[in-house]
Amino acid sequence: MSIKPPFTELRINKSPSGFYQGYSVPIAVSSKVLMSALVLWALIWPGNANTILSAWNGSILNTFNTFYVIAVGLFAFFLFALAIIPSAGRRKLGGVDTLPEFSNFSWFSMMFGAGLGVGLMVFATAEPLGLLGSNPVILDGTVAANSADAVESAYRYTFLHYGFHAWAIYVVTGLSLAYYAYTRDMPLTIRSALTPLFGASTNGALGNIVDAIAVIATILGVSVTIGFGVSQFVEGIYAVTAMEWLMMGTADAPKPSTVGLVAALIVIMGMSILSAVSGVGRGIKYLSNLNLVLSLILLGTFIFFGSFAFAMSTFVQGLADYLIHFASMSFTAYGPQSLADFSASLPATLESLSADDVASVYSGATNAWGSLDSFSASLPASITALENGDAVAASLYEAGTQGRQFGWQKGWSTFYWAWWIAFSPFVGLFLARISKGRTIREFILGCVIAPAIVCFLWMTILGGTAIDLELSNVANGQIFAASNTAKLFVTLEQMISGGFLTGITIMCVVLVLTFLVTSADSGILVINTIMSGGQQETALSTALFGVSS
Amino acid sequence: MLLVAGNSGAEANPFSALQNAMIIGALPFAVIMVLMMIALGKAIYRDGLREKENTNA
Repeated sequence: MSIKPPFTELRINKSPSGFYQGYSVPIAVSSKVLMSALVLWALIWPGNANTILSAWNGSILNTFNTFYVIAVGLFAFFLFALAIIPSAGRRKLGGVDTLPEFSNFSWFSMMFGAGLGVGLMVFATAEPLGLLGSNPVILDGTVAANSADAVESAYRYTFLHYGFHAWAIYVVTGLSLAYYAYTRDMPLTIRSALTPLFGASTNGALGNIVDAIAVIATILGVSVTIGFGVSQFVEGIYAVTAMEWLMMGTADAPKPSTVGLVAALIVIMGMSILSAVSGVGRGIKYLSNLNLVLSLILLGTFIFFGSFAFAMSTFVQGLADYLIHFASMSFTAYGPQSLADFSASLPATLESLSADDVASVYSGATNAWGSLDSFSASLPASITALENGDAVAASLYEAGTQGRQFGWQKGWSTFYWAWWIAFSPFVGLFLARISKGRTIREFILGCVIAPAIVCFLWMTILGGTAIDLELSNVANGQIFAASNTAKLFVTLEQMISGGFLTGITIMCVVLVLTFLVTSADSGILVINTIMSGGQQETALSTALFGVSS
Repeated sequence: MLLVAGNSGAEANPFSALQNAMIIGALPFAVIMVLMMIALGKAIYRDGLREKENTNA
C-alpha cells in the first residue's frame, strides 16, 4: 500500500497593498482588535478587569491545571523518545547535503542569548529563595521552610521550572517549525505544523485562528517578560540613584511607582525602535554580544565574591535530586480541594467541630503562602480555647495539605508552563531559524540539555549566594523581604560594597536594559513573521503597535 | 500598557492582570502545541515509511 505524499500546498492570502501590504489581514486585524480591547478594558476599568481576569483564571485552572502539567511532561518525554529512536534522531532538518549554517560555538551562544533573558535576571535569586519558603515538600510538613534542609527541594523545583521541561516547550514549537520549513519547504509559521493532521483546511479559517492564537500568546508572553524587566530596571536605577519618585509604597517594601514604570517603558520603547530601525542584523547582534559579555562579568563577580563552594555542592546535589525525581515531577498534578473535600479529609477526632468552624479555617488551611504558625495565630477563639488547641490546629492544617499543594502548583509550576508556552512561538521560531542543517537529535540535545545545564549553573551561582547569605544570618532577612525584582540588587548590596557595588549595579541595570531591548525587538520580528504568513523579511510599518502593547 | 493599568490599582502585585491574561491566553496555544506534537510524530513516522517505499521501489 502506498502512502500519499504529504500536504504542502499552503497558501496564505496576503494583502497586496495598503497599510497591511504583505500581511495576512485576518490574522493581523483579529489579534490587534483582541489585544486593543484587552488593553482598553484594563485601562478604563482596572479594578474590574483585574477581578474578572483573576476569577476566570481561577476557574480555568481548577479544570486545566492538570492539563498544563501533564502536557508539559509529555513534551519532554516525546522529545527524549525522538532523540533516542535512531530513524527519527538522525533525520536532518533540510536536505541530506545541507550543512549547519552556524558553527557550534555561535549556535550555542545565540541560543543562550535567547534563553538567558530577563527571566533569569529576575528569578536567579527570586526563584530559589521563593521555593526555599514554599514548595510541595515543605507544604506536606517534611522539612521546615527557609531552613538548610529545604535547600535540596528548593533547587529540585527551581531546576524543574528552568530545566528540561522549559526548554522542551520551546523545542516542540521550534522543531515543528524547522521540520516543515526545511524538509518540506513550507512557510515558517505555526499553521504549517498542523498540516499533517488537518491538511488543506489549514488554508482557511482554521489556519488563521491558529496563527492569531499564536500571535496573542506571544504578545502576552513578551509583555509579562517586559513587565518583570521594567520593574527590575526601575528598582536598579533606584538602587543607584535613590530617586524617590521612582518608587511608591512603604519604606520597608517599596515598589516601582506608575510614573517610574511609564518613564522606563518610554526609554525602552525608544531604544527598541532605534535598534529595530538600525537593521536587525546589526542592532540585535551587537546587543547580544554585549549581553553575553556583561552576563559573564556578573557571573564572575558572584564566583569571586559570592558563596561559590556552597553553590557548587548545591549544584551537584540539586542535579542528582532533580534527575531522581524527574519522572514523578513531570506527571504529579495536584487537584483543587473544595470545602467539602476539606471537611471530608478531617480526621475522626475533629468531626465534632461545627460546620461554621470548619468553613472559617478552610481558606487558612489551604493557603499555600502561609505557615502552620500563621495559621494557628489566625484561628477563631472557639478552637484556640479547646484544651488540645495546638494538636487540633496541626491536624486541621494537615487536612488542608492537598489544597495548599494545588495552590502552590497553580502559582509556580503552572505559571511558568503558561509563561514558557506563551513564549514558545518566540523562542521556537528563533531556534528554528538558527538550526537549519542540524539533525533532530542534535537539535534536541543541543537545545534542551545544554541550555538547561547553563540555566542550572546560573541559578545555583547567583541564587546559592543569596541563600547562603540568608541561612548564615549575614543578610538578616533583608533578601527575603525584598520584592522579586529587587532581590538581585539587595543580594549584591550584602555581598560587595563601595564603588564596586555601584559599578556592578549599574552594569546590571544596563544588562536588564539590553536584554529588554533585544526581547522587545525580536518579539516584534516574530509577531511580524507570523502575521506575514512566514515571510522572513518584514516591514516595520506595524512594528509600532507591537511595541506599544 | 497593561502593566501600567495593573499598577494603578491598589493590588499588591503590580501586574497581576497581565499575568492572569497570559495564563488564560496561553491555554489555547497549549492545546495547539499538543496537536503540533502529535502532528510531528505522525509526519516523522510517515516520512520514514515514504523513504522506505522509495528505496524499495
